[in-house]
Amino acid sequence: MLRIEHLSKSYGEKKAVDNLSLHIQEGEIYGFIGHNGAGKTTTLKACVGILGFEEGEIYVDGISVRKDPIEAKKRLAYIPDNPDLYAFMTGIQYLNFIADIYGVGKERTERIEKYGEIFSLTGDLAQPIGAYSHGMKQKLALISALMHEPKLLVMDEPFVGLDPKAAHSLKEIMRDICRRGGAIFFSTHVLDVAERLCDKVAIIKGGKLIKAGGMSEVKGDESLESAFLDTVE
Amino acid sequence: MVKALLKKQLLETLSFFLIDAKNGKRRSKGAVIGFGVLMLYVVVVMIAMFYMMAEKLCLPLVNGGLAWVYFAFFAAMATAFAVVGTIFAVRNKLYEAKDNDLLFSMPIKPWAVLFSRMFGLYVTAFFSVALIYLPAVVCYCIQAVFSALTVLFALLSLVILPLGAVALSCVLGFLLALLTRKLRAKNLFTLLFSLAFFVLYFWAYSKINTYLSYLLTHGAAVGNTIKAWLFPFWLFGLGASGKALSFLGFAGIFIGVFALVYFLLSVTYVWLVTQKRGEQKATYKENKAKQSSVLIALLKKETFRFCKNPLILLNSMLGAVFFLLLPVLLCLNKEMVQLLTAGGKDLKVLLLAGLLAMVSTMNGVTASSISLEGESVWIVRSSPVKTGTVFAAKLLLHILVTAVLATICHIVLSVLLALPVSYALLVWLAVMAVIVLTALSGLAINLKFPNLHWTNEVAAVKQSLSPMVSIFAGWGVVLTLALAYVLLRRYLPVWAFLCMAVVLLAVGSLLLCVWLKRRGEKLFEEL
Repeated sequence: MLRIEHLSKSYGEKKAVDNLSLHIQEGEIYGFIGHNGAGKTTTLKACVGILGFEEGEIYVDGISVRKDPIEAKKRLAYIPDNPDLYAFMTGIQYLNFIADIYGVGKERTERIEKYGEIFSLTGDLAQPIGAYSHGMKQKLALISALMHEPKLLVMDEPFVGLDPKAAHSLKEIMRDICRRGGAIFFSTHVLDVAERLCDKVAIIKGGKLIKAGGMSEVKGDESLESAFLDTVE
Repeated sequence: MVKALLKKQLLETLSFFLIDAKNGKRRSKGAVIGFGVLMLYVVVVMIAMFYMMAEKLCLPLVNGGLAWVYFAFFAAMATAFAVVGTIFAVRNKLYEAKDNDLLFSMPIKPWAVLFSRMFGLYVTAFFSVALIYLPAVVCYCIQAVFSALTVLFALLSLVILPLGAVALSCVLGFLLALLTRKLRAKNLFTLLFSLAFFVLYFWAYSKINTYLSYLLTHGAAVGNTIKAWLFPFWLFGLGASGKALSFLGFAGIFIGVFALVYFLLSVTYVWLVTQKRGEQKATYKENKAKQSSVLIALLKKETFRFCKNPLILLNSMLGAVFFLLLPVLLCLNKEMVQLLTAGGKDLKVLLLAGLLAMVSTMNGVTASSISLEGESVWIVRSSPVKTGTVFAAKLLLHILVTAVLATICHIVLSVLLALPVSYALLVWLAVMAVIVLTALSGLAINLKFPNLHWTNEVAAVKQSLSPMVSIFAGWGVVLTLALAYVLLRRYLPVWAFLCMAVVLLAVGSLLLCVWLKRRGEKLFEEL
């Protein structure tokens, strides 16, 4: 579903991502862990077509992000670590805007109702986004991401700011997407969650991939936390 | 503790000078010096302007035995200027400051927090007062009397006048916040209030010479009005012109009013800033929304953005305001119509074209549309939307709003000036060509100078380079065309010149389209 081949991205002199390759297959929840500034967000942004890159290639469902970004983006949804949404819109205006962009027709009403209930946000959809808390913005970003039923969900720290019920619902939705043949690629610092949720995990340090593979392969007999600390230090 | 708070407040007040709003980083030494020189230039221009005004009034009033009116007039004007300069900051800096929660969680007495906040306002008011009152005093010392007492009272005035301005701002700001808090159509209220203020400002500015002449010829009558309605300024005027007891009276009133406002606010401050806002929560009703095309969805988004904030709306669509005011102004002012038609048909046509073109360049929707994406630029960047479509939505909003209002204004003015239909059509075409070119150049300029890292979106419009450069570029185009006409008028009749202008503007627009396609899209994708 997502194939990253020899990705390299620099900011001036600094190499943020260095020759990184990963393959996330259909039905997989793939965790991406590393220190602050390790290159996680840069990689995720490159995957969703926000950031250009100097070397390598990224394919979403077999479509090159570099050559045909529009087709690639139609198949995915992205949630950044700090969802800065349009503060001048109400929640429902934002959801309708996203639905229009992705060409979601009549089914939008049903999906807004469904996900609005799941994330307990229906009652606040008429409020301006500017009045939302961080958690509410995160929920709205999640609902908007799920509106067009993406095949690939790319998320940067998706659990930050979510209440326990919403976090639980998100995990269920992630599993459901994978059951239906989709894939999830997300970064997190919450290693307990990653350990319980992910099928595979990749560890990045200084822009380079240190370790990647199945959960048991990466952590061995240790906890993911211990394995991560052993690997990066 | 108070010292630390005052230092923080001073840094906050002066941050516009030291911190670059674009990226939140400290300006380099060179940038600080450059910015300082620019600020100094503005200050010098304003001081010169008020000095010239003082020069006109000083001797006639002093010789007529009305020196106190001279001082009272400038003191009242300086105080009003300081109130205008601080009233809009009261809400954000006093009642809804971002760090209120942080400071109240610390072991700091509320009165100290309030004191530091009012100090920040005082600094702003002090500079506003100094800009007007200082040139008046210098002029008085040069032209009339120079004495130690005049200088002493002037220095004391500079300290005391801002106290009154801050006290008045705090009260008016509080009432304004109270009024708008429960209001449902808050944006409409703010828009109308700002428009009224704007119209009042231009009206007063256009009448300033009449009022100055009136002051010179009817100084005593103005003095009586000041005595009756602005009693503290009457005392001030007498004091500044040498009567110490009156000065003490004025100082007592200003300091007393400030102390009273400070006391009242300090005992209620925590309650004022922590009480729940009384806004009603809108309830969501499920509606079956109509599906829109990507372009229409983006156009709606741009419209929401500009309409949601009255300050953005007014600052980006200043031209639209003039397009609405111009027909009214000309309908009411027959002299102006006569002035425009006095030079014959050719000049009338050119004046109308120039006027409408100049006004249209003051609409800067596209010039801040990239900056206004701010940190939420990831939404369109990660969506399956062509960059060209994003640009098209921004251009469409600019062109639609400006063209519709310009057309209405053009029709009314053409009728008022009795323009032949063929010429009216040519003028309309030329203005439309300017509008398209301005929309495209505004977008291009904003792509070259984007400001995405603002904390308040108004900064993307008011404190960014792009809108200013865009307006000057638009004026540059219109003035260049005017100059071209002056040079070519012997060889080209007006109709031919207008046709040539339309063609040139169209070619310019075409070139900008090519640039936006080739370079602009890349710049946007690299944001």
